[in-house]
Amino acid sequence: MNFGLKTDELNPYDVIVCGAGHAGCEAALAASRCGAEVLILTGNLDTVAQMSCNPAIGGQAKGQIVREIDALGGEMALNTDLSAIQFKLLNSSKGPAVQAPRAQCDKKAYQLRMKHVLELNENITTFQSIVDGLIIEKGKCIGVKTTLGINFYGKAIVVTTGTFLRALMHVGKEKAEGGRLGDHVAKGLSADFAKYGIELNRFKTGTPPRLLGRSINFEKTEIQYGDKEPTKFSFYDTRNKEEMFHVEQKGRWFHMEQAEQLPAVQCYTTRTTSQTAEIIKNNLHLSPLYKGDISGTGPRYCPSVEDKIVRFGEKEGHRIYLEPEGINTDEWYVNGLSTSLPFDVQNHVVQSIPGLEKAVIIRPAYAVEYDYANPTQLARSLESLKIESLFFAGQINGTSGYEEAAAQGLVAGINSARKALNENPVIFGRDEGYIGVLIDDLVTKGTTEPYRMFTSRAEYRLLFNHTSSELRYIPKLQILNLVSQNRKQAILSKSLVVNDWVKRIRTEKVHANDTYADLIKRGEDETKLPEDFRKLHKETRSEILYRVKYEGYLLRELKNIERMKDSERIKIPKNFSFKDIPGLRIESAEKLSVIKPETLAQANRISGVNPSDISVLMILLAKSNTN
Amino acid sequence: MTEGDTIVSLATIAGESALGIVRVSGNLSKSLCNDIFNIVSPTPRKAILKNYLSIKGKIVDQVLVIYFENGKSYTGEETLELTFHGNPLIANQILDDLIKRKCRLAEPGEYTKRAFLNGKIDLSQAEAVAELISANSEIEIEIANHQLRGSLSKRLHIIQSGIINLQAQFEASIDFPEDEIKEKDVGEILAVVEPLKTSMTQLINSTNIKSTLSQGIKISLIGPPNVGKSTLFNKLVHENRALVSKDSGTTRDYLSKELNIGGYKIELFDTAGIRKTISEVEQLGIQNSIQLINDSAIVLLVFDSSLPYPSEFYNSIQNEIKSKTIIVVENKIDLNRKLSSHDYPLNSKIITTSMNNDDCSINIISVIEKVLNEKFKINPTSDILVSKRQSNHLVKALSHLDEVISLISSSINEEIILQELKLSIECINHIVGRTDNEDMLDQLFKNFCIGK
Ligand SMILES: Nc1nc2c(ncn2[C@@H]2O[C@H](COP(=O)(O)OP(=O)(O)OP(=O)(O)O)[C@@H](O)[C@H]2O)c(=O)[nH]1
Ligand SMILES: [Mg+2]
Repeated sequence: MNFGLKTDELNPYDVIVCGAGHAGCEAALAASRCGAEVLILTGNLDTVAQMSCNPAIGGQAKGQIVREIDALGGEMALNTDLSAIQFKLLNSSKGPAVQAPRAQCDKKAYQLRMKHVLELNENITTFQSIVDGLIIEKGKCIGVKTTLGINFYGKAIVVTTGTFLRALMHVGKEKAEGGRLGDHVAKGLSADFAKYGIELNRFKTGTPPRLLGRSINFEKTEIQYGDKEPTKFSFYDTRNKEEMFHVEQKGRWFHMEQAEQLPAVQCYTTRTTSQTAEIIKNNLHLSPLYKGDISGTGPRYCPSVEDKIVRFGEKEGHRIYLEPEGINTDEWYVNGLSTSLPFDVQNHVVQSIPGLEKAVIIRPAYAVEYDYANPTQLARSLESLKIESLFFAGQINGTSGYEEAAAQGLVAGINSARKALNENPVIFGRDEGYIGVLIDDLVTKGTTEPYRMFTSRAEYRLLFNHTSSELRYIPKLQILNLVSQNRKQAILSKSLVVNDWVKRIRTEKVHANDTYADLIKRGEDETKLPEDFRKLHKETRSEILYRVKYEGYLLRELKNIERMKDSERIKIPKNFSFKDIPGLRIESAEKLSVIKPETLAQANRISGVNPSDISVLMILLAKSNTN
Repeated sequence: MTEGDTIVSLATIAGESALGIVRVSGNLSKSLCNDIFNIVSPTPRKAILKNYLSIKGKIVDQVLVIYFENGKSYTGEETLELTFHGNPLIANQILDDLIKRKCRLAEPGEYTKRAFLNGKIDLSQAEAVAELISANSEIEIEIANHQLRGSLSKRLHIIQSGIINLQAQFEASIDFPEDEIKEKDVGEILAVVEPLKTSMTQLINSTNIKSTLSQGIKISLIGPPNVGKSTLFNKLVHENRALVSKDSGTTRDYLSKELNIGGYKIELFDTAGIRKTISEVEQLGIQNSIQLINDSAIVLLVFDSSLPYPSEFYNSIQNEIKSKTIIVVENKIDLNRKLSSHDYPLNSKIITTSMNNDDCSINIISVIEKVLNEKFKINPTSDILVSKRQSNHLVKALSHLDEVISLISSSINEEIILQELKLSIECINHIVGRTDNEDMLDQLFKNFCIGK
């Protein structure tokens, strides 16, 4: 064990992670689990795993991602469960495939616990310093420079610097450099990326104002209760106590054994009014978004309130959610009111909303513009196609959201460790879960707005119900040391139980004509099933019932996956040249050369590449394989 | 492979400005090189710029020719690759010319099949390529788009975006549960799906229409004896083909004549008047008349308005005309009207006229034309309609929409309905080109205010 910092070029770390946000933390932890010695650098130790936007984790498609992260031994799920102050299962009235857990978290508790997890990890060294450049040798990244003047060396480097590249914040016409209010900007990195041919583009995003709770008149708003019975993110049926609460057991300052009893809080809703609309319309010329001061593309799923009113009018008003930032603070997040209007206008806007007439803004809303590195410059391992041993994860890849960032961090962590240890990269498939969809979309299609996961992006979404996450990743757990041996065994036996029960329900007759499956498909509930079914864990039961009830649809999906895998098996060699291939259209050849698909199936998903190009490619690949 | 079986296809056809490639594979390749480009013994794998000389001796385009010898091409056969300016017209001219020179159009996946047969690739790969090509060949789509001019392709695109809109509606309520998306009720959804279905059904039917149209549309004149059918026939064909007399039962055997109404190719039939008779010859004629009703797309029912309603006649043909498009002609209105009862088939058009009137046929022709336009709703002069392959895709797409309707009525989950919509649109995509999730998201964000 080595507590000291290593700065010796001849004795490098296995993995250096730059940035300790949601991507950075998962990257460091995953790399360490894969056996790497990790250094994680952050510009500010007080902002480790900071939730810089809304105080919630999960939600539609994102909740599923968090559960997948848990299935792969990641930390986000446990950390959320233990710092959550309200749980809600979204779409609970809809089908299992589109149900998604979400939790309001205590932001500070979330951060501190994650920081503590890093500190307690024996393979991870955490250090505060700003990364200001890359050390590149013969096209390979071997270390980083810091503003302290110290260089650190690593066999693989993971960049997770979020929105900090050339970040510019706007409040009305006032501008300030920085990716988050009160934070620094990374400039040296941007310059180095440009130097080594990594293309950067610009995005924008915004946050709403934060209010002082005691200045809000909650009586004029509507209460949003959480679920009485929380749907948690972690799988507890396959873990022992040791694995569940490692921080709480070892920690010196935290003792959260009773964490499930963190006090629950409520959220509230209110609406914008016609007065709100009028204020906004009258001041539109002051919004940098409308003046054209902001050039980056913003997310369509998270429009500013200016946008909402201009584009969709103000018939019944737009709903506004008031969400607490934590239990030890009276700061409230105003979800739905993101804006870049000047501060005085923000005040008027807020005060035109029922319940907020006297509300005090304690943190103004702002829009931020930042650089991201087009993710088509990455392989599916998240290693750069341009600089060897350099990995990218999180918002720097043009995504938005804590969950999307964490998922990429996990993948980059695994693959950077494998790179350092001379092992082949591990690829996450679109057929395995949302993580594979996320990575494949990013590196294959790129993105023109901050990328957020939607369930509709997953063509096999029916198979990605959140309770099945652990079972879906068994093949990955077999080749990666991401969870303990105990848990791996528990997951395997859960899988056997599920399969056995599905088979039994399908074949065993209740009476002459009907199997148990017939009853279930007809809408009977599980009380009609054999006695010992009820002894199973709740999530196991719901997984079994889902597979029985939706059998036909799920089988169809499995067949589709098989078909897709046929062309996924046809690999395109790493140095394959797409130039001068007769029959391949120039436009396609150019796209293919940039994106460098790893398989024929991936090539087929590139927009603008035609099936005819694919058949040309396939024949050529077959030829080069036989020759 | 059969001797002389040389296949050609458009390997790529880019937009109007880029390049297109035609590939020729088979043992005609070398002689084509000579015939078209005057290259006697082509150097293998060397690109040569030459004028393409058509069989009529006309220069079609300047073309880059590459010749591959036996065993060295994709297919393993002698192959020619012709790169020309990517104008669809040039592509068509080259393909037409090659076909005149005894080549034939390749079936989807045929190149791969040959490559496989010649030991160039193994079975699993060939199968996968074949599947890709046959499933989603962009080339076919482009050609189809090029051919499906005007209204037809427009309609396919309308269907496509109609389905995408539905997807967006369902996806919005799934992916943004807290954004107050108003969920449509069953009635509202049906109101969207039904017109899509109707439109698709019409397109599918137009495949049948294609054969109807190329052979001519059959229209027959049916009625009791002596009502003026033959007189009308002569007027419509502008010559005195049919015998006309004041005696009932003048026409014994049917007569037909081709004519053109509003651009449609028509085969018009004059038939024996239908009545109870003891004459064996007349009886045979009447049987023919009834048979003709079955064969006709449109039936003109002719009545004599100076006589009472012929119930007996009507009863004898009632079954036959059930599913036909009917135009009723009440003739002889120059005489005193006795026809009162109106037991005509539903939805039939009624014309009241007199053959003594010189311009009576103008009115009748314009009504027929209107009916034709309604019934076929496409321009019969457009050369290519929906091909059989395309219609198969439409039939499949339609069946998935039917499934959507039955799922909606049984209040099944949105994500299952969306699977069916996805399958449906994939079928349409085979005809008009790929759409992806981004198109759906575009609609979604355009139509719904998202943004908690
Ligand atoms: N007054 C009058 N006579 C007409 C009119 N149209 C036809 N006729 C006469 O009606 C008689 C029968 O006409 P056809 O055309 O032979 O009648 P058809 O229906 O072909 O009779 P069949 O062949 O016997 O079934 C002829 O004498 C015609 O001149 C009309 O509009 N007004
Ligand atoms: Mg006659």
